[in-house]
Amino acid sequence: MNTLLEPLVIQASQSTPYVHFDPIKGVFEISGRSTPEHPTEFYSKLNTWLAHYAGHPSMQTIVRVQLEYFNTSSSKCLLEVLRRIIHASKKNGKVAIEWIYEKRDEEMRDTGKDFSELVGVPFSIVMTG
Amino acid sequence: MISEKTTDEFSALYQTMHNGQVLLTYKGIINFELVNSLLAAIEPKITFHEDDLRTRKAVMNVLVECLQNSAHHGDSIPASKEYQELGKLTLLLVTKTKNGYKVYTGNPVRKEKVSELRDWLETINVLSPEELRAAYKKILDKGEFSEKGTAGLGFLDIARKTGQRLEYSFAEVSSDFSIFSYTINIPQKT
Repeated sequence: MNTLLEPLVIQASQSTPYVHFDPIKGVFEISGRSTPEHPTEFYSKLNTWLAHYAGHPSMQTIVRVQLEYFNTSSSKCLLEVLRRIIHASKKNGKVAIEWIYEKRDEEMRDTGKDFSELVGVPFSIVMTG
Repeated sequence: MISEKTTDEFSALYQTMHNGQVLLTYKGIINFELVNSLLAAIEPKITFHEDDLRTRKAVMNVLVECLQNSAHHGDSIPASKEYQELGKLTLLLVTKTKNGYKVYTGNPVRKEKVSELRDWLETINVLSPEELRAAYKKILDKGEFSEKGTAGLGFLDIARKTGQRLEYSFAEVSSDFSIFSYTINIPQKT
């Protein structure tokens, strides 16, 4: 259990998602939309936090991704964040990734399948709404 | 600096596009601050006109990529006075058509980028949906960004989301810039 690291909480903006990474519970949430012009600026905050988390990951990490839409630049950053979470979590625990998409949004469902293949971890792809 | 021919072409295209229901027009340099303002301006209109979630998302996705693309290219226009007219040639037009939506974008690009852009668009235009998906995943997997932080996936994603060929043209407007214009048809999803 990680008791030293503060949770990472970033409120959503018009172009960036809501982020809540809870190191105690091991529950990581990214939701909303991600369309910043310079996504690396935003996602570097997540990567910095994850570098600390990697030192003391929870026994189980649950990741919930529920994005309405994201731009192509964000997609690379998001993939990188997921890879870092998986890498960190595998050190002493398990990781489960839930990819949540809105009913009828088959494109987002398929994007989840693509991401799952790219990170090499099966996702739970969940329909909502 | 700006040829009459190009402005005439713009005018003709504008009239053609005007036959649809215009949802948004913008003319002038698009910078990054403006991208968010324009998206905020058009989103309620798309929501009002479009009941289908997938079509709505496809239109917004295409607009995000187009506007950010224009802003990136706009970034390469020198700030000096002699280039001011050039910046004004950036144009965005979004119309509702009988079968979906149409986005017309025109913006100056540095001439040395033209051949690379044309090759890339031609490559995309001949790919099947499965090949587009495979190409998208391959580039995504590499995780590299250009010097301006762009992912090189924008047009590939637009082709995937719309299932349509990208219609484009380049028109020389100065010794170092061309106008890159393209039209994107977003069919109503069924």
